[in-house]
Amino acid sequence: MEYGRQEAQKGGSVELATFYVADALCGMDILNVQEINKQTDITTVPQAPGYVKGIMNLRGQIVTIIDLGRKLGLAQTGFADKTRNIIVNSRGEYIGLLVSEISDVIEAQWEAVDAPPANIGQIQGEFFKGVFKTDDHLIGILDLERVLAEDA
Amino acid sequence: MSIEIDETMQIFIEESAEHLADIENDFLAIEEGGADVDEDLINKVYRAAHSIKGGAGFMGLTNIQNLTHEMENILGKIRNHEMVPNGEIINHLLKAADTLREMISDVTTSNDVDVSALTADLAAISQGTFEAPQDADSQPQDGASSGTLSEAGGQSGEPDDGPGDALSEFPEAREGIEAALADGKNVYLIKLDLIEDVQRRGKSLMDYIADITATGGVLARAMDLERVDPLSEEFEPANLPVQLVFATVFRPEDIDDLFEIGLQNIFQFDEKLALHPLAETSTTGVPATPAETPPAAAEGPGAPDTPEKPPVDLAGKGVADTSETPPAAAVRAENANVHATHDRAGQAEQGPRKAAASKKPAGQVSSAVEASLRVHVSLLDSLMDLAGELVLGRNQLLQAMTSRDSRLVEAASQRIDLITSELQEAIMLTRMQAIGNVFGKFPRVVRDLSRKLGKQVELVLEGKEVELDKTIIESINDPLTHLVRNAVDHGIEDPEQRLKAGKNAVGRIVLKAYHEAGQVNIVISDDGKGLDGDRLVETAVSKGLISEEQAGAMSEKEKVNLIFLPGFSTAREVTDVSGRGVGMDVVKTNLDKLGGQTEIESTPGEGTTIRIKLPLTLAIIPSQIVQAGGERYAIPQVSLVELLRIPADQVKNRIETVGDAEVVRLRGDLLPLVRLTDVIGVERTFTDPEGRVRKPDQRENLADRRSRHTPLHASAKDDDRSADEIEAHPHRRVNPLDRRQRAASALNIAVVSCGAMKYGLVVDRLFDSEEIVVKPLGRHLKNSKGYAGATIMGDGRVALILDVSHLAHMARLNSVENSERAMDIAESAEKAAQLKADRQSMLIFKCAEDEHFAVPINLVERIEKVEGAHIEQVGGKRVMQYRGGSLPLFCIDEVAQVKPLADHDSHLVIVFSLAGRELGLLATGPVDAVEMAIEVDGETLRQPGIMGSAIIGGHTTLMVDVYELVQTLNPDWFAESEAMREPEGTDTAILYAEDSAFFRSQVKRFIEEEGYRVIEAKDGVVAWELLQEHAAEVALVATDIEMPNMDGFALTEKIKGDERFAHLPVIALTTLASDADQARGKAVGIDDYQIKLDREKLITSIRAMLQNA
Repeated sequence: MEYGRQEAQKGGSVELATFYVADALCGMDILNVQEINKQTDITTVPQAPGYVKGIMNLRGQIVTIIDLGRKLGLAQTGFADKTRNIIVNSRGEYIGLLVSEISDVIEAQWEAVDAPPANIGQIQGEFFKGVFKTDDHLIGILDLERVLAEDA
Repeated sequence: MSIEIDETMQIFIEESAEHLADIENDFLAIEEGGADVDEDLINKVYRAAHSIKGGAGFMGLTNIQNLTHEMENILGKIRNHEMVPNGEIINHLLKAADTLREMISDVTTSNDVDVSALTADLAAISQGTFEAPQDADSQPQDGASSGTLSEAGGQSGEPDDGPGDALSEFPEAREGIEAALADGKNVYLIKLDLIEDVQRRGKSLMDYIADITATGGVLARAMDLERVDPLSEEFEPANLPVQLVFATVFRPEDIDDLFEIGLQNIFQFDEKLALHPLAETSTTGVPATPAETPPAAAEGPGAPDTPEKPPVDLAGKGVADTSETPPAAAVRAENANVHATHDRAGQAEQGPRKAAASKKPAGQVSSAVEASLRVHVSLLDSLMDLAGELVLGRNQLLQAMTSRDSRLVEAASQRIDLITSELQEAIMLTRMQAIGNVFGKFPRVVRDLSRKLGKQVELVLEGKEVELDKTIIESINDPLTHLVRNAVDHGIEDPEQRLKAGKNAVGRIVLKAYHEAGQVNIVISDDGKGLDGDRLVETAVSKGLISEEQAGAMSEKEKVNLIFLPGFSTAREVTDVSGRGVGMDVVKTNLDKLGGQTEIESTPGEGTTIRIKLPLTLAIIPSQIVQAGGERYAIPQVSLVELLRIPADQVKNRIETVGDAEVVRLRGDLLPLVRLTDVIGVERTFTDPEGRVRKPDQRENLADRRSRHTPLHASAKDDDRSADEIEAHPHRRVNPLDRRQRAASALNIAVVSCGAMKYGLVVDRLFDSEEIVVKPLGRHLKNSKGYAGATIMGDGRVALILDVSHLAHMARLNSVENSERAMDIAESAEKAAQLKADRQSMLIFKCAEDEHFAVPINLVERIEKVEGAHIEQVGGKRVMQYRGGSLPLFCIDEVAQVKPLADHDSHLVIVFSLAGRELGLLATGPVDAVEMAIEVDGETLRQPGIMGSAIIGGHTTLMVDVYELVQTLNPDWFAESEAMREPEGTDTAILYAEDSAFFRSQVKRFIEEEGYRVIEAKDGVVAWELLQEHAAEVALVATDIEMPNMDGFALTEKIKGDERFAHLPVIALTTLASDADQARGKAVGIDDYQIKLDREKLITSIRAMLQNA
């Protein structure tokens, strides 16, 4: 949250790639996104933490797919027509975030970003850098490093 | 003055380290050579020391310089035969090399290291036999001389600005310059910038210096380090100006070809030692810098009078970088790294030669062992070729795809397939390094250690050229060092002891590497005292690592292997040499991690040999692909022992339950079974052989063949065997939804080993073996043990690679015992005991030359030899005269379909006594009596006269059924004997329970010969049923102890517990009856113990029992 504040003070805008995790609309800096794909050929990893959906072959790289729904404390994301993997690069490693649906790219002014409340929907506030209000939506801006932390 | 690690320094460090890498062994070789000096070797070492000294002089590393200078002095003397290298001298040189290595690994503090004692020692050594110090000076071209001068130059360290004052900078050089001039040489003052002129052009500093010194002598040099000295640690100097006084035969016109720095930076000394700039005298005036050099570099050092300007400015700016320096310098400084990188990329495209020369990533400190790798240029060339090929292949494929011509696609994919394999191999080759890199340090280790321990040891290295993957090379260093040190410390004895034992006083350790079967073998053998197996056992028992029972059952090899048990150290006391008892098990664990196998062999008094087998590489590994729960998994071939498929109809018999653990009997061994699906927690599945679909498998036990919820379940519980009956009646309805596993499904087991433990991993399906590329798992899966990584299969899906040792932990296979090894020993103890239980003495003989036969030795009365002439044919039968009577003779081939008796002059006659008569079996030698565990196969080779076959001593050996032979040939004999020996009448039957068909038929025969009827049962359960069926007839029960389903103890208990049968005497037949067994037997009511094939006693016992009853 504080990080979000710092950025807010810095000013400027950010392009958010937005997507749905269950019913919650979330967003992240589009510069974090390497690609978005719809690969469902995922190998499950028994004994893995519950939020790890499995691993996938992304052009020769092993990519861990994280079920963002589970990770954020919501229901498991099942594979459906609209589910997508958002591939991000974190600390030199490709990680896929399984989301329920992809939405628009939205430009947000950091000044307009508020500190997140204790929770958004049923998601813990700690996962967010802040919230951004559009005319008809509330977008939770994900703190990627927090989301991708390895805790169980 | 602090020292910065910039690129130049980095190169110096790397090159010096390379020089030092070999220097040690060279010293040792020099020591060995003694007075017989190997000129080449000395020169090599000398050059190494000299190069380091030169570089250190440039860098202002005075300590390193001083030290190498002294080393050089001594080496010079050795070279000139003024000094004979002895242990003392070499010791000091080695010590110096060590110190050098330390200093070079941390150059920034090298000047703070106190080397005065060492240099003083070295100096004293060189002074000790020093005769003519002026010798060196009289040869200006000699490296030693220039070294001396340069050292002086380096230390003077207060250089002035202008070239005009050059001589005041190099006062000591005056003499040398004069001498060189007198010699007719040209002497120049060269102003170089080490960054601009050497390094930026992708040259190696050492090569540069080597080039220079090859064509002349550097009389003096000075570096303006004071001015470069930065304020910030992050600062990287853009310039490193150096001045050289250089004597050469090169004329002014040619001199710049050597330095390539432009004539404006070269000045010539005249006879009066005055300086003249060459730029003016030269008629050409062409800047000799190559066209590719960036303009900034060409102007780099600037005019001769301003070389120090940029550094001064930079120093002034400190952290705030370079904005006010002259434009060229600013660009350079800012782009220092980028620039260099681009340069390199460009060169790489032009040709790998240059790329190889400047392979080092910018600004990286080589504190880690190997962040960079030296690759042969030809290899890089071939890699480039292959990459080119690959691009062509891709183009071809794309074209083919567009044209949708399947033939073209095929051709292209074949091509890519081929190139990919080649590329893979070539890239793997770049990772291969000679094991000599590791071996190289052992001569020193052995030398130092043996000196310290007062032992004499000779180390023989073989196969230094054998190559292994870089990662393996790095990881075997420590284990090998430990093993070699162990060999010196514990293996080799003191010289006196060795002499006493009649050995050469000098011990011998052989370190050998060689390729075999796609693996690298490393053998460390010594001719020392060997390992005392009994003492190892004693120690292991006293430390509670194994029990005495286990110890008793151990083979010599197992005893020796105790040394790998965790917590075991053979050293009677802890020494700093052999460590603190963390030794061998750590060695083994580390080698196991690399996929290596370690074996140890030892003969007391003769030495110890340790064999290590290592895979060539870890990146690509052959693996077995299996399936469980719908996913595929890879099991690395190194941990795979064998694959086992238990056909559906045997599952019930071969899978047993011990406690709640399932085991399979594999060649007499009990192998714990682990279901992969259970360990990793996924749903069990099985493939329905009819529908080819996977279905969830709900069995609770592997041996379960159908659901417990079927209506038949109740009856099944009552009688184990009814399950078989049900399967024999498929028309009975079984609810398909409840079905757990088709009875027709076989069981697939991958037998894997981790360290010393073996277990069976039950999987749903077995696929092929494939070469897989190991890829690491992401950080979120670090805590998911059980996987060694992942790989991508041919269809693009990811498969996990199993880590069988972690799986064993997860399945808690070894939680009972405190170590895997202990468990293994327990297992083998059990096995040994089992083997003993089934041991049997056999007489081995031949009939024809190439067929082997065996009979139980206790049937044999005697063996006689008979000449062919003494065999008589009487009445259609062969007899020989024997002890005053006629001994009927017969051959196996008269009854059985075997090859006829070999045609020899004399034969052996094996005399049997059957049915009260003696008869002889003709045979040929050699005969041999063996006592061994035999598993008789009663089916494959069964025929009249042959009860079965067994593998004895590597031969398929036919077990002769003498009884049957005789019965076929002389049926009347037995009719007589039965009539004669039937005192009790046919009602007396003996129930005999025994699982081994072989013993059953043997013992049955004994008893039947005595006139009793034998009712056979193949296990306790059957026996119990038969007993109920024949309750009236059975007068005595004989039973084996070890039987499936119901053992002898249980059977006896049942009999004695039933009032109908409690009166029946029970004789237990075993081959080995331990006290514990006997006590247990007595407790359940066994009346007597008898050895299975001790016919006389058994019969006597039966008689006695029956009479009492």
